[in-house]
Amino acid sequence: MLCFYSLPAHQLHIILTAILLYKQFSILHFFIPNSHSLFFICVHFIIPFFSSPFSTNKMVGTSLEQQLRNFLRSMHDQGILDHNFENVRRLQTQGNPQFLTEVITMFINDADVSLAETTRLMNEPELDYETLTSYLHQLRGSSASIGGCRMAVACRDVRQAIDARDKARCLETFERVKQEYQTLRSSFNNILQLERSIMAYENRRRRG
Amino acid sequence: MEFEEDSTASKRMKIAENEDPITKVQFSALIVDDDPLIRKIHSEVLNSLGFQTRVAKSGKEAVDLYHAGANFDIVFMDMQMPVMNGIEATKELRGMGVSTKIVGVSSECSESEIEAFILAGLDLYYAKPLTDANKIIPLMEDLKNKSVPNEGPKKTM
Repeated sequence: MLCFYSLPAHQLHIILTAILLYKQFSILHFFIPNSHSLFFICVHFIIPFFSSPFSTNKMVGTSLEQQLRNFLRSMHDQGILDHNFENVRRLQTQGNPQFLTEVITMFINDADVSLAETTRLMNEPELDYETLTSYLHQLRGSSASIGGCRMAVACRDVRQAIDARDKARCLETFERVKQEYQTLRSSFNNILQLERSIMAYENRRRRG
Repeated sequence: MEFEEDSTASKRMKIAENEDPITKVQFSALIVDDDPLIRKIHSEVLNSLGFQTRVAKSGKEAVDLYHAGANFDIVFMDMQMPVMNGIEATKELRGMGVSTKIVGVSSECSESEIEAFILAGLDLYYAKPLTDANKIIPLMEDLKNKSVPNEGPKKTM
């Protein structure tokens, strides 16, 4: 019996079912299988159900999707992402399967540059308010367009501090922008990882 | 906010040809914005509705396109851009005799700035971000109903 369990689960299921059916058909005068056969049926139907490649993979795919939904809902509930992110996500189609990845990557690359430059400007003894306005305008616009609403709000606060020519408030509010960006960046990395996993699962499933 | 229950990549991936053909029309759009991310997102929103899109990085680039003989059914014009902003570009295009529908798209605008943008010759103003394709559909209805073809720049002798 132990040698059977070295087989792949779905093959084991087929073989054991065949053996069981042969046993049952050869003893036609028994209406109810004896307790040993009943145990045999239960164990060998239950185990393959949970261990067959098809059901296991389907559960993995569903689990990944559920993880992504739960994560997105959490990001929305915390105000990190808003409906604009979902609008952008929906633009990804079969004809453009990398769109979301491209957009997020572009956002992160541009934001890294803008934030590095803004940090440098903020460290100057005299703030260049005009150039800072330009960078914060770009950061706010891009974060808002991709759905990063908390970061966009933080950028707006810096803009107001710049308009007031209040250096202390500029520095304080800019720290908030950097924190929100790190949160957003981390969220996007998680989303992309889940999307890639789902995509890999779908590709494996289509290849059979 | 509702998150798509069918959020797997394969379920979300729709074959473009199977989408509702009513929204699939062949209008052309020019997207004028200095931010490449905004250009990419706005382009894809319009492409999803069947628009053929072209982009310009500044108001000057948009004006130069029209000078070169290009023409579009609709222009989405950002306001704050270097070199030539949206207000200046809109005034320039209207001065050239361009009758294309121009939609101002911007954020962080005061009431007076929006008013100045509209007075420059906008047909419509939308606040950014413009990620919702549903906001574009009414514009497409207007374009379909428009009986006079768009005119490019009028040349004066």
